[in-house]
Amino acid sequence: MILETQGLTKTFGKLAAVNNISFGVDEGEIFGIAGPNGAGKSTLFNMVAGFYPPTSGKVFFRQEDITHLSADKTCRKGIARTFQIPSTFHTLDVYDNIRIGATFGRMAGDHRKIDDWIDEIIDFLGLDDKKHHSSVNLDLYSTKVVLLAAALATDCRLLMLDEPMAGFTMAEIESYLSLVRKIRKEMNITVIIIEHLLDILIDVSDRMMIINNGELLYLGDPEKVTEDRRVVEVYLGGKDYKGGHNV
Amino acid sequence: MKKLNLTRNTVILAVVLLLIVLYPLLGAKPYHLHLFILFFIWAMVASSWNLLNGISGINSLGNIGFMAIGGYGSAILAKTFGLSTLITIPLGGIIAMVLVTLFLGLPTLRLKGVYIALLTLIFADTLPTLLTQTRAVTGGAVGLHEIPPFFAGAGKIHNYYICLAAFLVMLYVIHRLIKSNTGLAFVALRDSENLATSLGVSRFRERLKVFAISALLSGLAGGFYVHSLGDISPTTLAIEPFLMGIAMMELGGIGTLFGPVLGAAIIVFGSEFLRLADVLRMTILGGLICVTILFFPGGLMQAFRKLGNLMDRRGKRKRGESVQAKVQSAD
Ligand SMILES: Nc1ncnc2c1ncn2[C@@H]1O[C@H](COP(=O)(O)OP(=O)(O)O)[C@@H](O)[C@H]1O
Ligand SMILES: [Mg+2]
Repeated sequence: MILETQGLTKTFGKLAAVNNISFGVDEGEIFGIAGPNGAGKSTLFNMVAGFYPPTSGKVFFRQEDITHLSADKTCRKGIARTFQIPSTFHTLDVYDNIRIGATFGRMAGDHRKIDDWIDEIIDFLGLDDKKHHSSVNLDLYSTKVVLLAAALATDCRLLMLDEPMAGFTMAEIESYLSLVRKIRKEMNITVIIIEHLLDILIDVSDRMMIINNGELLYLGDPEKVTEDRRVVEVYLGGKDYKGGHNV
Repeated sequence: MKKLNLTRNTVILAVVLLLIVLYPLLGAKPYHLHLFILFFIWAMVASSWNLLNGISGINSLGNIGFMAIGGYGSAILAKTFGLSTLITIPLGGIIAMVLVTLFLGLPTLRLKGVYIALLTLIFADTLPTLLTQTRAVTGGAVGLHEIPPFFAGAGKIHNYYICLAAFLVMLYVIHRLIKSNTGLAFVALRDSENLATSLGVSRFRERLKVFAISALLSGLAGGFYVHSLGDISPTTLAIEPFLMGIAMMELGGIGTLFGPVLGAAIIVFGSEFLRLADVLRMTILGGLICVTILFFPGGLMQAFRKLGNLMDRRGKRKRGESVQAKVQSAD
């Protein structure tokens, strides 16, 4: 297991945004997370990545307790994450956005290799033509690919993507998914992906987890998720699931 | 086009620099040398201040205080202990750096935006009180006078070249810093703190670093100030110098390398020129700043860049037109 949480809990005042969630992610898998709005998915990410200290519970990364590490230290351990709201370093061009990840992530200190590494990432994600573009006037898809590139540039072993495909067209979803698969396959990076559209998540994930009201509802085989009575009841609004989109 | 622009700017810079270097030799009046010395010192203060407020987006209102610490430190060491200014000026800068890192860098780690501004303001504001409480060493409200010059017998011309050299070295150091990984981290944290930390940038380390560097450089400027002018008192910490420093950054172009320098030039020479206007001086300067910021939020640097682009485009159009004319005549 590359990542494991034990009884992870976060309360904001009286609200238990994440309530006693324990799960594990295997090395090399694509692990999907779904759940209604406000279920606690982003809060879970924030705890794992060191942005929020958990109220209780523990986080282990490659058997090491990282519960209390700060966000930048978590990154240098090998965990990269993207944010639900996509925003770049707006005064920097695409190249420098990626350079931040390469310079301060796990490659930090290895100055000679960094330029080649950045070019490798740019090449891998097909960003060559946008290399010296300003990072503010990009379209949504390119913005998200740049943010993905910056995260990959940290040389992470675990990549956590928070609803990366929100607002995409079907074609953009397809090409983003193929990037995610390529990242797992060719870079050997474990991926956790939060996604609203259940079909897509079932399609891309090796295993998946559904959370609702901060609690774990389902953990396991994506193919069987629509057969789970509790998932159908809570997440799919009680009706028999016939495919199609859930928003 | 970009290449052309670069050469033009380089030429302008080289000519300006040459004139500044030759100026004292061309029979400049001592008073004018004095003004230039003030400009060099203010350019250092504004440039080091800009590291916090412009490059890092941390609103410091304390840099005049940092400068005063460096100035007092160097003055006391030179005057009371008779140490060489070669040692006292760096020591003054280091004292400023240590105090600011401890009393501002660390406490502001938990703060954001306006609260940082408040804390830095309080820091600078307690200095005059502290100075009057330590009269025996600092001269209290009267301040320190007859502070030793850079070296025995140093005159205005010497001061001019020493401050010019210090200013150029400092500007170069700041330029290198901005281009370095450290500068990249400052900008990253300014643009998006969450994204930066998610990519491994340490907010803790960079915050301390920028306070330390900015205080060191402002403190050094304070050293050059006291040994050029010969005195310092709590009035250095009054509201006017404070506002001037802010004005220089905003007017010239905050967050750019040359903006604060340009701002310092305009404010130092401009306020001298405006001495004729007497009490209206600050009002006119204030008005000038408001108008500039209104039209060019990026300060005069932005205005110049627009002007440069405009000239490039006009040049292009002219060439375009002549091509068109040829085509027409061929018809
Ligand atoms: N910083 C915060 N302060 C207070 N409440 C929060 C904070 N972050 C999230 N929440 C609350 O926690 C719950 C879960 O939010 P979130 O994790 O963003 O859900 P999801 O990502 O699944 O849509 C929501 O009710 C949200 O309002
Ligand atoms: Mg969310």
